[in-house]
Amino acid sequence: MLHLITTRLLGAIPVLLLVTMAIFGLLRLAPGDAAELLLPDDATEEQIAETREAWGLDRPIWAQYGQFIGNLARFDLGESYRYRAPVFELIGERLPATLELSFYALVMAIVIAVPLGMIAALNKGKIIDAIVSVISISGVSAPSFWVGILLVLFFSGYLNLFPSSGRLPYGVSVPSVTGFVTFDALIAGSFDTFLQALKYLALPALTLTLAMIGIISRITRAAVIDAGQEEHVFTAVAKGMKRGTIVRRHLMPNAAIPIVTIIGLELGALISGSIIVEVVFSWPGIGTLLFQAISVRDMPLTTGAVASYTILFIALNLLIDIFYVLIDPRLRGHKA
Amino acid sequence: MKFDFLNLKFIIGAFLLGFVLFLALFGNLITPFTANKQSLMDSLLPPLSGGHILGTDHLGRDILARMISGARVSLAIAASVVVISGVVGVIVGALSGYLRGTWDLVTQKIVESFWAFPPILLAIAILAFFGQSLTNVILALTIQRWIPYSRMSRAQAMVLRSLAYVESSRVMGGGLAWVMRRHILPNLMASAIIVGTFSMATAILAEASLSFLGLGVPPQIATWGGMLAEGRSYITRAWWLAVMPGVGIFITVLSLNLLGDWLRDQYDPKKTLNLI
Repeated sequence: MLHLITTRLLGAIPVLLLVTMAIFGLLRLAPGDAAELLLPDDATEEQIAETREAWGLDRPIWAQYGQFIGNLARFDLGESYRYRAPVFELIGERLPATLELSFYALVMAIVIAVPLGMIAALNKGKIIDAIVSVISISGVSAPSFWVGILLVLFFSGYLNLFPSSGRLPYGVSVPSVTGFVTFDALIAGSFDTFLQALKYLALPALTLTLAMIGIISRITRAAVIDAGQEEHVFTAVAKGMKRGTIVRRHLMPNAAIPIVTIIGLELGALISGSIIVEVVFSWPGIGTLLFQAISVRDMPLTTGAVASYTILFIALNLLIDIFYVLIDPRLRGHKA
Repeated sequence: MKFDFLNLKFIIGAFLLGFVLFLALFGNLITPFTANKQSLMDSLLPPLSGGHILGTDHLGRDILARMISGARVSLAIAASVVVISGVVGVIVGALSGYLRGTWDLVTQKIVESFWAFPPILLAIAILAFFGQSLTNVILALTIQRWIPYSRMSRAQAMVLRSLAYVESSRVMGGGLAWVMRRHILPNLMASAIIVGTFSMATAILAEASLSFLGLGVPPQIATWGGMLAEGRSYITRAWWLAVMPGVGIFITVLSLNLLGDWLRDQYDPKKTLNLI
C-alpha cells in the first residue's frame, strides 16, 4: 500500500518536469523579449536589466530553466505588477475560494448524477432511461457560461432568490480558519453567515454541477450495465436473490471503479469549468485572477496562475490514483 | 455495416446540424442586414420587430446576421481544428503502435505532459502569451485535441501489427509507408470519424469559451461566445442578446453529440443483455 503510494508520487515527478518545461517554453517562445513580457509597458531599461538578472535571462537556456524551476519550487515567481504583491501570495489568497466552489459542485454532481445513472441502468430501455439520456446529452452540450447566464436571468433576475455575483455580501466577513467561508462561518458559530454563503454559492456551484452531471450519469449507467453482464450476477438472478441485494452486493462494488475513473477525468473539466464560471459570477478565485491578469498582460501572475492550476490538477489526479487502491482490493499488495 | 437511419438520434442530430449548416452557408438570403452594420436608432429591438427576426443588440446590429457570422466562424475553426488534430493524432498514434520502441516512448511522454494540463487552460495560456489571431486560436485548440486520436490509433495499431495479413505484407517486403497506407490507416478511419465528431463538439464549446473570455478571434468578427459576453451586461433589459447565441452553440454541439452517439452505437459490436 505504502509502496504503491510512493511509486505514484515518484511517477508524478517526470510529469511535473515536463509540465514546467512546457510553461517555461511558452514564456520563452512568446514573441518579444521575455524580460519585457514580464514587465509593464512603461518599464525602464533599469527594471528590464534587473528582471533579466533575477530570472537569469542572460544565461544559457538550460540555466534559465534551472532558475525557473528553482523559483517555482520556492513559490517565487516575482511580483504581480498590477497588484504589487508576490504572485504566490495572491494565488494563496484566492485558492480557497476556487477549492470551495469546486468542492460543492463536485459533491452535488456526484450526489445527483450517480443515482441518476443507476436508475437509468436499472430501467434500461424504458422511458425513464430515455429521460436521463436526454438530460445527460443536453448537459454535455450546453456551454456553462450560457447556463450560468440563464440561471442568473431566472433565479436572480426573475425570482430574486440568489445573488448573481461575489462570495459574501459587502462588508460581511468571517475569521479565516479553513479558508472555506461556509466552514469558517460554522466554526465562528454564525449560522446566518453560513446560510448567506450558501446562497452566494448556489448559482455558480449549480452551473458547474450541471456541466458535470451529463458525463458522470452516462458513465455510471454504462458501468452498472457492464457490471450486470458478469456471470456472478446471472447466478445471483438465477438463485432468486432480491434485486436490491444484487444491486448493493454485486453491481455497485464493480461499477465503482469506472465511476471513480470518470470522476477523476472530470476533475479537468471541473477546473476548466471553474475558470469560466468564476468569470461569469465574479467569484473571487484563481480563475478571475487569471482572467484579470491576462487582460492587463500581467505575465508573472498569468504564469503563476497557469502553474498553480496545473499543479493542482496533477495533485488531484494523484489523490484519485491513491483512492483507487482504497476501493479496489485487487490493487492492494500488487507492486503495480 | 448496416446503418439504422431511422434512429431518433440520427434524425434529430442530422436535422439540427443541417439547419446550422444551411444558416452558415445561405443565411445571407434570409436577412438583409450585415453583421457589423450599426444603427443606434434601432438598438435593443426585441425579436420580430423592425424587420429584425432575432432583434438587435446594444449597437443596433442585427442579431440574426451576427449569429450567421458566428456559425461560420465556429464551424470553420472547429472543422480546421478537427482535421489538423485528426491527421496529426492518427499518424503519430499509428506510428507509435506500429513501430513501438523509442518513437513510442518519446510520444507517450509528450502525450502525458500535454494531458497534465487541464483542458482549456493550455489554450488560454497560449493565447495569453502569443496574442490573439485566427491561427493562434486554431493552434491553441489543436494542441491537446490530437491526443484522443493518437491514443485510439496507438491501441488499434498495436493489435493490427500482429495480424496475419499485416505480418505477411511486411514479410513480402512491404515498407513502412506501404503497410501504413494499405493496412493500418484504412482500419483506423471508422474510429477516427467517431472521435472526430465528439471532438468537433468540444472544439465548438472551447472556441465559444475562448471568445467569451475575450481570447478568441479578434473582436471585430462576430462570434457566438463574443456576442454572449457582450450581451451579458444587458441581460435584465434585453435577454435575447445573451440567450440567442447560446441557443446557437447549444444546438450545434447537441447535433454533433447526437450524431457521434449514433455513429458509436452503429460500430459497437457489444450487445448487452437485459437481466435486471
